[in-house]
Amino acid sequence: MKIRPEVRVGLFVAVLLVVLLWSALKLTGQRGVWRGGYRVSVTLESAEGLRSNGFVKMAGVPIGQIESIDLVANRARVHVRVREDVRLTEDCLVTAKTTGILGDRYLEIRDCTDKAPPIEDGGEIKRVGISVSLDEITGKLASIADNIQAVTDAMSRVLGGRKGEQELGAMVEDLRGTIHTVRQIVEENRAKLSDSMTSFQETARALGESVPEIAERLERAAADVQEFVAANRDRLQGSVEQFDQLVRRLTDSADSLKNITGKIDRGEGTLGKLVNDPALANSLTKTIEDVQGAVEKISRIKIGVEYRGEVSLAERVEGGTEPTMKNYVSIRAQPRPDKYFRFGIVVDPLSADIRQNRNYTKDGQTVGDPEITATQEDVKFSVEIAKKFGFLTLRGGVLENTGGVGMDLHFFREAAMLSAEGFDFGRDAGPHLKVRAEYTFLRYVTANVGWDDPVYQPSLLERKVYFEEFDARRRSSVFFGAGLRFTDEDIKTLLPFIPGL
Amino acid sequence: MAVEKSWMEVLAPEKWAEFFGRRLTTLGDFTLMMARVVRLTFRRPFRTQLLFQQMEFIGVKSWFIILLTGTFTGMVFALQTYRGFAKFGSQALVGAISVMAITRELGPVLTSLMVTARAGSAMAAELGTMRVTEQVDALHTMAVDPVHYLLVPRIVAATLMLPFLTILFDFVGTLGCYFVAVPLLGVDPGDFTGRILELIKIGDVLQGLFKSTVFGFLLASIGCYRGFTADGGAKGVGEATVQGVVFACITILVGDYFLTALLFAA
Repeated sequence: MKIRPEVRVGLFVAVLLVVLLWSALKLTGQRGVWRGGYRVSVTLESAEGLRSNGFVKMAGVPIGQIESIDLVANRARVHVRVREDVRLTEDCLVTAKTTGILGDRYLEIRDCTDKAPPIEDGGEIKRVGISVSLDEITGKLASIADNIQAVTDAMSRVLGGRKGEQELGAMVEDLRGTIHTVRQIVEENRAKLSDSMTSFQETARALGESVPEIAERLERAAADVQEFVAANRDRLQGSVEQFDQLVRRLTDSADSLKNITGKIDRGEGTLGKLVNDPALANSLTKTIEDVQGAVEKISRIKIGVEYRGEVSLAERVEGGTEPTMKNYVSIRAQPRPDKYFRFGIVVDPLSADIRQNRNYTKDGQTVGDPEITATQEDVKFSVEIAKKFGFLTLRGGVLENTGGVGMDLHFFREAAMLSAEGFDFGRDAGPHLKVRAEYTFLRYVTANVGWDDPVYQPSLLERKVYFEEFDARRRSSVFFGAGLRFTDEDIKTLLPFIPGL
Repeated sequence: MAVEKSWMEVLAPEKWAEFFGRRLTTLGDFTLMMARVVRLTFRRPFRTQLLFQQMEFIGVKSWFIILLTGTFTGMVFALQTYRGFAKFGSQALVGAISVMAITRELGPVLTSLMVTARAGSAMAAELGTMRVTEQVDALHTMAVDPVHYLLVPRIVAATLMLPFLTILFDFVGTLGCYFVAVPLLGVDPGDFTGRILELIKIGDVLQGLFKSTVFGFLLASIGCYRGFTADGGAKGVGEATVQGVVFACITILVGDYFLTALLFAA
């Protein structure tokens, strides 16, 4: 049977029309044909590279297309049609992005959460991200590359050659060692640290509660200091005058010294001849070198000066309490970071050495009345040696004229300290214990709170002596304190500001 | 004694004038005849039977030659563009670039050239033979307009069929490209199709189809006109065929440039 040409032509055309339609649908994607979903708009600074029918993607998945782009108030208003099943919310962020280096630009929507209210049909996405154009990126890359080149040039100058290589190797080696040590320290002290932190937190909380009280007492302490200065003005005046005389005498001495050195210089007298002898000069040079070595050692010692005033309560004869102030001045010499010596003076107005003659019984019989001697010792001395183990410092030596030991815990890079010490263990009233928390602020200023002498149990006799000698009696008491602390570094920086030096 | 030619003789202005005059006359005659063809297309009697015969001859029977040329064009394009793109690691673009070249340029032009070679030459030869054997005059005597009877179906059929052949070319060209790029050269198939879908717009295909429609009209009208105006026996028929094919090919290639420039500007 012969098929008519119309049929063949029709079949041919139909088949190719199907092919055309298929590829047309493929190539347009869902664009043009698809008109579902809902419309939202976005206002961009620039719609550069965006085209209508362009993709709108979320997480890289096309969720819609750009319908049209208008200019509204000098900015690009892009109308977007989004798939029905994609819920956009008020907190969605829109950014114009580029696919690859050669690719088209498209709109990306991200950061949508369920928390914000959804955007309805015809709504606007308000959050717009900054889209960086390829030009800007290449521009930035060029300047970055320039910078890198400058850096590598500098590095090659510094590190180039055998010497640089060796130095680098040594540096890496040092670094490795340091890291290892640090790790060891951290591992060893992890448990301790967390325990200490907990206890410190508790202390800090307690401290916070008593701050107003502290402030009040500090104020009172300051008033006391003022009073003290006023009372001793005359004595201070005398000291200054004495110092003046000393300086005058020193000036005289310097004049005669100048006279003598002049003679020596001119070779007059025995000394003058000696000075001109080269053998002496040689031995002098050597001596100076030795002295220099010793001085270097000494100059490595760090010196610190500390003052602290502590206000605690004393018991009055007629009952009730009154505040008394205890002053501490100490000099600290630190030859090594983990070791220091401290020489301190303690001025305690309520300190007494009360001695009771215990030998009043003989062969079980009372020989006479007990003999009591009481000496006021308002100035006491402390000499301590301390050794640091990480954040723990152990110290011992003479504390307030008696043997004693102490322990300090440091936190927050030594800004905070918990301290406990005990001394005067032979005392009738029990050992003198003291716990103290210190916080350093404004670099030089310290604030203290603690409990002085918690186990103090004075005998009736001691109470009597105290009341007779001082009209008041020391007692176990909470104290509040304030102080200043300097190191030689601080003093060096202060020197230029002191006039006349 | 050598005869010195004057500059007037060398330039022979009258010969130049005659040459250009002839060309211009031909162009005018051609344009008028094509205007008549367009007019007669919409005039009774509609010879649908003849039209379908020509459509079958020009379109349907060209399927195999288009299939072959299309497939191999796609394949060779895949090879060539792969070399270039592999140099900067964008092998995935092979498909998109090849398909863009095929749909916009190679499809319409190569299809038109193949149809010119196959059907355009046949038209020129057929109509030339009818002219020299006075069959055209016989139609006249039978009160049948030979332009309406012979030219209209052929030109309309070519104009209608060329876009469809171009679709075929585009399709098999893309397949040829795919079969070289993906299994042979190892381009990622997802990337290959993804890039095509991303970069090729339906406008690229439609532009090619529009061009091929114009080329279809041009190749058929030139072939038919040259055959229709043949004279001088069998030799004249041969000449008409050769000239018809050559003119049609040149017109297609030159016209392609201007047409593209025109579409590019649009």
